[in-house]
Amino acid sequence: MTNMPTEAQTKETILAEPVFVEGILMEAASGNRPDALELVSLFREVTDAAFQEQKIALDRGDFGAVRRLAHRSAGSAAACGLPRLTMALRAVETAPDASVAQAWHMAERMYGEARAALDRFYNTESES
Amino acid sequence: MSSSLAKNRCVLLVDDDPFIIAVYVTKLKRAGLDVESVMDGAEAVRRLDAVKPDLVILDLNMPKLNGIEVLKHIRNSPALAALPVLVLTNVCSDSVMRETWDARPTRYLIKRETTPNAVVEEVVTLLKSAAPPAAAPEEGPPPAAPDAVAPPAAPAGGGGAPAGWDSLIAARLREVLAARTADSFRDALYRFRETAAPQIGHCRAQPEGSFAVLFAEAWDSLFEELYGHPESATPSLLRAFEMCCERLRTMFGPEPAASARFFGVAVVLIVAPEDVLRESLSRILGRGIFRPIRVGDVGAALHLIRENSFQLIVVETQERDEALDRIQALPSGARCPVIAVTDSELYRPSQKTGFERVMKPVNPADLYAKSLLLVEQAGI
Repeated sequence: MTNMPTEAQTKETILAEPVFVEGILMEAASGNRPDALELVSLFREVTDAAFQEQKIALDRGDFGAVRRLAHRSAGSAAACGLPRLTMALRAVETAPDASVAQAWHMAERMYGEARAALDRFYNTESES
Repeated sequence: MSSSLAKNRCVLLVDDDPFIIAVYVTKLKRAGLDVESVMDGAEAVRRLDAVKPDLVILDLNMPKLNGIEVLKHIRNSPALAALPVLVLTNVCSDSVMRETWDARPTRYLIKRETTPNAVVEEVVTLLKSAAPPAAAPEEGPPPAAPDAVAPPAAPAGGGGAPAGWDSLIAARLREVLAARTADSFRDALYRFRETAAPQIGHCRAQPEGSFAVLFAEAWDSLFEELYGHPESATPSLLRAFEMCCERLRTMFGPEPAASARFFGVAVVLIVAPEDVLRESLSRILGRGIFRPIRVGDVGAALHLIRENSFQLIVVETQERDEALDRIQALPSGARCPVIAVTDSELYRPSQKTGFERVMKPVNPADLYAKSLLLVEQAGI
């Protein structure tokens, strides 16, 4: 029998992760600031669209599609240095049908948080 | 990263995530490689003939045709069968890994357990050891037979040993030790953990009671302490972390250190005049393989050391209080590894002589890891 973590445990695990690890993003951009800014722009664009798609899939009860889309977004989030969002999207991927909506709403909140961190990074770096 | 042997080679990157494509296209081009990218499996199959790549980076979870089907197509085509294929995915369920492995990838990397730099390094290595470009088939080594593909890197906790404790992990550790601010320190620690995750996971997956597992647990505690409380990163704690990493490193490489199982207990003599500290040390070493015996004065400790055999002595010591000198002057005391709990810089740690120092205030992860290291080193 698989021991599934409880919702509280999942939430705790997600919140234990950092929101944004700048070093990961900088590595993805080979240490190049303009490239990092481009990646941030691309990530926001791609992930905004992905969350909209996920919302549509969720509204029509297509949990398989929500999981697939969450899987893809999790890959991007990991490469962009957003461990907390990555973990939240992983929880969506592995959630049973009955919990997909709840996990997705958590991921959406984490995306808001991650996006704010990226916006701060973007604004600071664009100005400097 | 870039290598003349890998230059002008073409990589076909197959991933349905535009962000991942952007990251890897940039990095692979910086390494001097030509890159073509496609966003689904069916398109990848169509492009293989036209692009004639020297290597394919392949995601698994994709629309139209998934990565396993693309891989099977490659291995079943005589003209493509020897093509190196690096599977780069976040899918790591046992069933998918088995199915993928049956389709014979050259490498299997989990995105979240690796970094773009490590992936590009792997690509360059594979290209160096693979067939030369199609334009010059008479030069270089013969193409690798499809049967000669290397097994995939095991995910954390998986059965097979992952790749060694390589230079990238060592570099990440140096970044941790060189970090100057709390933010850069946590950042570096996190990246170190991500890079070394397969290796530490491999240690954690060893038989219960083996030193590999004990050190992996000690490493976890040190990591949690350092990451959760970067202000606690004293030289004493960092030394414990570095020593623990070094011990884990020796479990990999051409001649990995044996990871013996520990049977029985390690009896630890705790010598501390101060009640609260004595109780605290006793609690820290009151778990796992350790069995603490505590005394408050050096005279009683000397008597016990003469009459009994200890696997470790932990002694609270002030500068010039002679407690340590008196213990080590005894023949049995000199043979036994010793940890000085102190706030004095006077005592210099030396692994060679089995002497370590834990600075006050005592951090449990620091004391536990050093105790474990000394006990194992003494061969008990």
